[in-house]
Amino acid sequence: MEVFKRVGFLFLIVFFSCCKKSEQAVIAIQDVFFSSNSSTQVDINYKLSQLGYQETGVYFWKKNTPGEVNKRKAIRVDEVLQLSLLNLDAESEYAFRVFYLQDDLEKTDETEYVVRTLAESRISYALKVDTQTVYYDENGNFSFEIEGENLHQLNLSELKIAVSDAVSTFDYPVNTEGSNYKIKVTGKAKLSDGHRVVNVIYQEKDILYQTVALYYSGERYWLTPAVTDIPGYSLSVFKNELFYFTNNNVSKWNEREQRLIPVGTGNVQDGFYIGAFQGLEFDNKIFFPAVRKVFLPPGNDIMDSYSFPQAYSYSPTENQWFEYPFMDNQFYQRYRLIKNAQYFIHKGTLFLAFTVSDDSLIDLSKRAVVDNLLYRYNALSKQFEKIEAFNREIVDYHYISIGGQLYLLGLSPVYDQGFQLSTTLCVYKVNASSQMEEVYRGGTVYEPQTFVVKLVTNYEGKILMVTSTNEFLIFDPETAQLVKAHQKTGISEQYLEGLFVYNQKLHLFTNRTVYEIAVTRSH
Amino acid sequence: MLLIRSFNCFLLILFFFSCKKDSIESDKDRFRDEVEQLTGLSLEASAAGQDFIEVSWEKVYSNHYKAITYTVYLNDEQIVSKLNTHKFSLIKLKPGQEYTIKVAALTKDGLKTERTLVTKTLSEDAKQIDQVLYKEYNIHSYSTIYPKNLARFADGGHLFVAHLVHPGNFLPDTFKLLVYNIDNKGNFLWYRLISALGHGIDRNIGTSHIVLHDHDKEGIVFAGTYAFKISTSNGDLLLDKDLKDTGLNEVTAVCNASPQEILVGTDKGHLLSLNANDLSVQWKQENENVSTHAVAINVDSKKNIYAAYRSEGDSPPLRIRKYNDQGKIINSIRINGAFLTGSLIIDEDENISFISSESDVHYNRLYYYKFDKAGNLTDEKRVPNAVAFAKAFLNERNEIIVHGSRFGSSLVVYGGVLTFDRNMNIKSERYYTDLPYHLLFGLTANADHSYNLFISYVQTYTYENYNFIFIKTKADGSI
Repeated sequence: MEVFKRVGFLFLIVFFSCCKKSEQAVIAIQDVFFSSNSSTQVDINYKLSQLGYQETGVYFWKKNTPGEVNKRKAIRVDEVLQLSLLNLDAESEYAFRVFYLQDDLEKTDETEYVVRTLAESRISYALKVDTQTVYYDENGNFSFEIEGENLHQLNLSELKIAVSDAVSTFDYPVNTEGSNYKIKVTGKAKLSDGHRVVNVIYQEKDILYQTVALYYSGERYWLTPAVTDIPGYSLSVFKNELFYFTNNNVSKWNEREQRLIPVGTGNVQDGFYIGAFQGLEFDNKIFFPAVRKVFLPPGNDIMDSYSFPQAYSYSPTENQWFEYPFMDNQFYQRYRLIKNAQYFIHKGTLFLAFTVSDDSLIDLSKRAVVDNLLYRYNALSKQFEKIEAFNREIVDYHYISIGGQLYLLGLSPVYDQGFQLSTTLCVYKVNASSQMEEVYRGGTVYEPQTFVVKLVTNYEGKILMVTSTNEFLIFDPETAQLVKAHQKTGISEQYLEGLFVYNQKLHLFTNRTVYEIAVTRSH
Repeated sequence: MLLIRSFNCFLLILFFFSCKKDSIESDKDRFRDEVEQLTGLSLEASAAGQDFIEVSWEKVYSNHYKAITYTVYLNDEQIVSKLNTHKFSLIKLKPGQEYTIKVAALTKDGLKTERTLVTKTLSEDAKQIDQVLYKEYNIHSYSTIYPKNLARFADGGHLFVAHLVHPGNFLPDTFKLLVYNIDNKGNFLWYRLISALGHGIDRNIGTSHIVLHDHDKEGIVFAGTYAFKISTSNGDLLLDKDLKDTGLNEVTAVCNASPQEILVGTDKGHLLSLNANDLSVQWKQENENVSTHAVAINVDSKKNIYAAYRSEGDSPPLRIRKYNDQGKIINSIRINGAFLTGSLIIDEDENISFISSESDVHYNRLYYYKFDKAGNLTDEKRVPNAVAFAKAFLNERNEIIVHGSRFGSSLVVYGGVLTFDRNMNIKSERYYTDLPYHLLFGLTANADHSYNLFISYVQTYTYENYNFIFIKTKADGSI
């Protein structure tokens, strides 16, 4: 009997045990973790304790708006359930609960998980210009590349790439490696070396501000000044020796002893010593340009005084001075100025040019009377003979003879709608009868080349022009092109005095220093 | 006993297997895997210019949460791949041309959805919609253009008169009148130089003035004692007339009274009515005080004329005179204050407002006087910290627009525009401080409420500049 009681009891246990098993199995949520987290997305992984679920996922909501619940279903990869919460707000807390569907009945786990999205981070483009030096061609065209990360993500219509004052455009980003890209920038710059700022602006914010050096890519002239020990004042060259002219003395430079030795007598006229302006060697003399000479008649009545241009020469071998008055240009009634006084040698003959002009500042309402004059030196009579000069409105001019051809360069008027609005540098060929043919006109009507050429010289068949102590230009008569001669080292002085050849080398004479000038052509 | 124990063991085994069978039944995998698919791609051209098209699209999702990247094609040529933004611009396109743009969204496994769009860039003559337009002009290097006055064409273009000062290597004549025309896109159409010396116009005259005539076909410039009529189509000089015989030395204010009549105020305080066709004098109203100077002229709907005059002196009064259409004085109003410039505004109720600014520019202070049609002062206000050199006009919304330059210390100066209601209560103000220091010498309004700003950058203490700048603002006045 006892046996049957026990058997019955065990059957009951088995029965109830089996009855319990026939109910739905409880599925547990396991191993919930966030596989990644960003400002807009949270990736969630979890497992369910046993099979039998038909689908699963999460209900999620923003913590501060619990009424707005969203549902996201999971996919299953290697028994792991995966899903992503998308389009989230940055720096916000989101809560979620896992659900599963079992026997068409949805069950939501009681456990509430909370996750916080990260702060919004801007994409880092890590931009940089791939070079520190950008080269431009003879037309100003240049190109360079900007490197960076994720550049393909840029909305290009919101991207601006400015290269200082140059006009520039850019291409689509090109993938180089991994997430690295490059953008090619092309543009056209003004034909001048210097530093330019590359400014990349995206969505109106600066994302790159970098300076690059812009240099000409082709060959060009380089002018190198080297300081010499030669004293820098009132000098002229005679038979490859340096003569200095001061109030009382003419001195000669002794290079070996590095000192000046008095060799002659100075020449003071109207309070100014002749030789202050550089002279030119010809016919065993040094010729000095015409300056204003005041004639004071006997009795010293100032009202009877008058002025005229007068040139001078000095013979170092004889220590003798010579005067060349130009009485046909005496001026008395009007106050007149002598400008552009200069000598040049053309086909073995010495010429003297100068302009006698009204001082336009005296009467602003009148057009100044300008007389351009040209004289030829007669080596037999030792006198200057007047010849026909050009009759055009050209100011700040220079004559120069290159290869047997005489040139005149200076500032000529620029006309617009019939008005003289400015001047520009022009170069003319001059024939024996002073007729001129324009071979070069600089700039445009709107942007003329208005610089004043102070000094000129023949440099290997080309015209070297100096407009200031740090501005040199070379004009090639064969190509009629004017180009800049670049300097790697500058000259600190401001005032130009002259150019001369000494020891077969070109020298530049400033207010304090004499520089030996070397001109080369290279990249 | 052994039998009982054996039976118990049997039941336990039975129990175990019964349960095991049940457990196998509940673990059966019923998970419904979803087929991987992408959401649709909606593509649109979100912006276009003459040389670019910007396309944008809704983000595409994979129901398997896979990363999506985008590839953009232009006329079947792949332009960019691995994009994970939702906006991209095709650049270096030609104006007015049709382009086929395709965007493909794809997963790493190659699942793809794509959408194609055919769209055009803007044509070359397309109107720039709410875009800032910036133009910088330089007529002649080494010359200076100042001061400038302007008139707005109905089509949004502008006609200017300025003084061009240039180097004079050969002639003492270094000053020209300059008239130029800019269309509504900022294109420089033509300019005309007029000899000043040849017309006895002194370089030291003040600002020249300009009005339009004959449906904008002609511009009439007043400089010194001269009036010049110029064709606005090509800048040809059609007529010049010396008004010296009328006793004037310089025209200081002008106003179109009607299509046939131009009113001219002078530096002697005279008011002249000119026939707009032949520039002959129709009538002249002389001021007994020749040291007065016309500042502004306006005409109401009943053709009554209002003219403001300032007098010379330390604390001169300003007088606003009301004339009938034949120049007969109706009344005269006096305001105490030294105003170099100013504007007369007449509202729809025929109230007259005179708006000016303190002559000491660093106060940037506006003065406002309002009168009824009988000449009674009805309102008076001062607005501190506004602008100097103030000019004002009434816009289509009956708002008073005041513009000028706001001065700070040293060279600090910016253009500013202030909007007031008709009772001079401020509604908004905007200063163009993002631009380099500049003077705002002119401002006109467009139908879309954008402004045309005309400025000169400050480079010297004289405020003269080689260039002049035109900026068309956005509709809200921003740049």
